[in-house]
Amino acid sequence: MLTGDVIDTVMNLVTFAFLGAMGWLLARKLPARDDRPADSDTAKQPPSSGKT
Amino acid sequence: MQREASAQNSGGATGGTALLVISIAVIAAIGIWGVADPEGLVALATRVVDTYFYSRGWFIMLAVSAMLIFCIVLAVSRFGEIRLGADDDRPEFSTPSWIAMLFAAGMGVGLLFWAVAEPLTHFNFGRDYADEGVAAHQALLATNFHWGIHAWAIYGVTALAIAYFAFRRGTPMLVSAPVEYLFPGERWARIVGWLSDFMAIVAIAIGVGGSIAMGVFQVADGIDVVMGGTSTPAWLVAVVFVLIVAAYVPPLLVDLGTGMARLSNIAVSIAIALVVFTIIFGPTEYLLNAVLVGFGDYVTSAIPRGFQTPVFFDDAVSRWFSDWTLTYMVWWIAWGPFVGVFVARISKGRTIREFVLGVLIGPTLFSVIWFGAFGGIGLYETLHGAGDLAAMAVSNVERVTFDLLDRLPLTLITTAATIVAAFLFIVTSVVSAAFVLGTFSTGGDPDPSPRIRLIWGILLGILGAAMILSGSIDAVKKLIALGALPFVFITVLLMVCLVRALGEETRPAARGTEEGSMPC
Repeated sequence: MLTGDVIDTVMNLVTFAFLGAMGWLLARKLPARDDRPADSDTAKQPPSSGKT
Repeated sequence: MQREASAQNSGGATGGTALLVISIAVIAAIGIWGVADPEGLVALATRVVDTYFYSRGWFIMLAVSAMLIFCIVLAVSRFGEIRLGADDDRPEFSTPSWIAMLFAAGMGVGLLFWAVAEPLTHFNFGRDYADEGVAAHQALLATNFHWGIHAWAIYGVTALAIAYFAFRRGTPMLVSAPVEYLFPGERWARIVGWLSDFMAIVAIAIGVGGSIAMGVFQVADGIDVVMGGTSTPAWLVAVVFVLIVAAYVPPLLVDLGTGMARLSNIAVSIAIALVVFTIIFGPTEYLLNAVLVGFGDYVTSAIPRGFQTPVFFDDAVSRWFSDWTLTYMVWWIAWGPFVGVFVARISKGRTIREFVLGVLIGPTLFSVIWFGAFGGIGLYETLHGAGDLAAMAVSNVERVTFDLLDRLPLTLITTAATIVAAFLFIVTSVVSAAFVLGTFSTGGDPDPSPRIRLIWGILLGILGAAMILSGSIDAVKKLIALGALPFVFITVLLMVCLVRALGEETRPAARGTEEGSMPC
């Protein structure tokens, strides 16, 4: 028999569903946003400690 | 807009508190489970990871290759002119400093640990299938592939998404920010956003826990070698672990400014000195040839290799592929949000083109030189010497780097330097990770409180202990892969969000608005 593993197939189908969802996100219209263009003042993030 | 964007992320104050509590609880539970029953946790990780990898190795490789091609397309297209920030922002750091910081971001204890061990491990495997010359070529190629441009494409995509949305759209530096910004008020976006931050936290925590374990093994082995031992005792591993925790806890409680950056630069300087030392005092011509061959094989094979899986090969090759190539790709994805936030922070004001070229090329070139030198000297000893290093890569992989240094001059100095570098890499990584975890778990607070940082530092220590108790590097790799698996999907989602946002910028209707090419 050449049939494969059921769990394997199901998990791959889930992956394809995810890829389909990504395709939908790429194609759908973006909702209107009530925002302003960022300029250098409002886009500033306070510096954080850590590696830098 | 920044406050609005912050409130949208993680569902506002309530969502942020829930994320903090739940993520701390889950990470604590995993850590305690790992300490109480390390074999059980490793067994579960092995089952899940093997099933996932065997089922979807194609998806992981396709996703990673897509990220690389996406980066290249951005660099060569008109999108490359878009600046990470306002159109009149300029970079905060000079280009040489920026490249050096990218090296520091990408270098860690893993490069020290695997410098010789990985090429020799692949060589040992490959010579069952081909003659030794071919096996040596393939060993260096595989190593360069694992640490090269694909890894940096993963970091690059994550960092670019975070940087673009933070600096150009004013969102917090969160993994959830892109999807919640593009689809404001949509319930599915809030849920996916919350889960994105949660999965990023899990991936970072387990990834850093694994690095703590690897670093502890390396430092303990180094000390044991200096003391003349042949097998590192458990008490020494425990002492080193306690010392590392004692070293990273105090910095979590204070604001160190550039202190951590300086320690990181010391570690990178030691690593650079080690590779130069090895090339000069080792068989120099052989090593330079190895670097050239490694570079040539890699440049001609890197992109096609991203589309290869061992589908037509035997089970042993499939096992090798999932234990190494897939594990590495998922490992880089696990580190993506952590390295991504750091790279994003230092890249404000750069164009996308500068960003992509710098992130992809500089660190990759260094890795090729690194593994050409260290892998080359390991292969030299194997092909022209007694072959002890290759045997040690099988029996005692943690000691290979130190055994190599023992065969070069100034052993005590180079061994001590390696131990110091490994120690500094772990400490600076843990401190940085605790900050990033604090930021992610508090809805984007760029300066989380010392209490939050300390909690994450303690949890990272518990996870590190669990990984150490798992007993082997293979077990550590499986646990890291388990933590990172869900994040593969999130990284793809970030890429999609970036595509949508960049497409919005360059629509004709979006040009010529108040602030240049910014959409409104």
